[in-house]
Amino acid sequence: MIEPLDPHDPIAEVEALIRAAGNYVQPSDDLRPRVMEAVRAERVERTVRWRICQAAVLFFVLNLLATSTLHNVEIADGASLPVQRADGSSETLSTVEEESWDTVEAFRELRRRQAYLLRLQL
Amino acid sequence: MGANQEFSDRVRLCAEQLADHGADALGALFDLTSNRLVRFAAALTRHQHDAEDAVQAALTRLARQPQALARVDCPWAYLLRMVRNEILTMIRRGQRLTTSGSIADLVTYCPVDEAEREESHRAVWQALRSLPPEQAEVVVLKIWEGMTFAQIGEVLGTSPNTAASRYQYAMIKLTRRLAREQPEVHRD
Repeated sequence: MIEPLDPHDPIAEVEALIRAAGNYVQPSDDLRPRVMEAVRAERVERTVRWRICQAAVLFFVLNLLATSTLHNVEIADGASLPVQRADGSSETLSTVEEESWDTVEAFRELRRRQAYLLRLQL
Repeated sequence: MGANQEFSDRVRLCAEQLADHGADALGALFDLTSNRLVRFAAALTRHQHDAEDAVQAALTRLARQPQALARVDCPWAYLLRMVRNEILTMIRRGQRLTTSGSIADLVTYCPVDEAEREESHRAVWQALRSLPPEQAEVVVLKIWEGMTFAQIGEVLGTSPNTAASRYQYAMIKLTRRLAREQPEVHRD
């Protein structure tokens, strides 16, 4: 039975009463499965989140690699890229560049001639 | 104190297993501590469901960082503090379900040979629930967990003197209330 340390001390007696009631309140039967299920669900959720992150990083890295590889190929092969002309014939970019400067020169010559004619008229 | 030290050692062992094997070892820790954690939480929240929610949240949080418990000096005190923090978070969020004075919601157990003491146990819990939570938690830690006021101060984040004075006030109130319920406490 309850054995207070000092039978004349009401506080000691109350302490003994409280001590005796220590195991009166218990967890409900479903608490253990609930905790285990919550832990398991969280682990699954964390694994899925981790996989999604991994996939996103992998996709980003692959995308970056593919873009940079393509860019390098363009720079390396840029000078010899074929250019389709209006008349159907195709030439490399360097030939086209040389010809385009000739066009500029011809256009400047035309403007100079037009200016000379205009001055004569005045 | 010996029994409590032994219990603390067993909690430490479980904490080490948890650190080694991860969340798979949580079952052993649950089996060892759930009774005490729920009783501590029930004294604070005054409601079985809230108490169990707090214990569940604390253990789930622990499963996320299984090494955390093994790293601390006193795993049992740390676990109690975790449950207490969950309760404070619930109170802050306004999640507390009830403040009813009835103990009908509590899941109780009384062995057949102690049946005649059930009334006394009910009176104790009724009186405990009528205390302010900061006094009730000191009583639980002092009497049921056998902690010193210094250890209680560590769990609650207060000084040992504050813990001692809360305990004094709580015991005066409990003596008065239990004297009303249990006249034999004050039979002179």
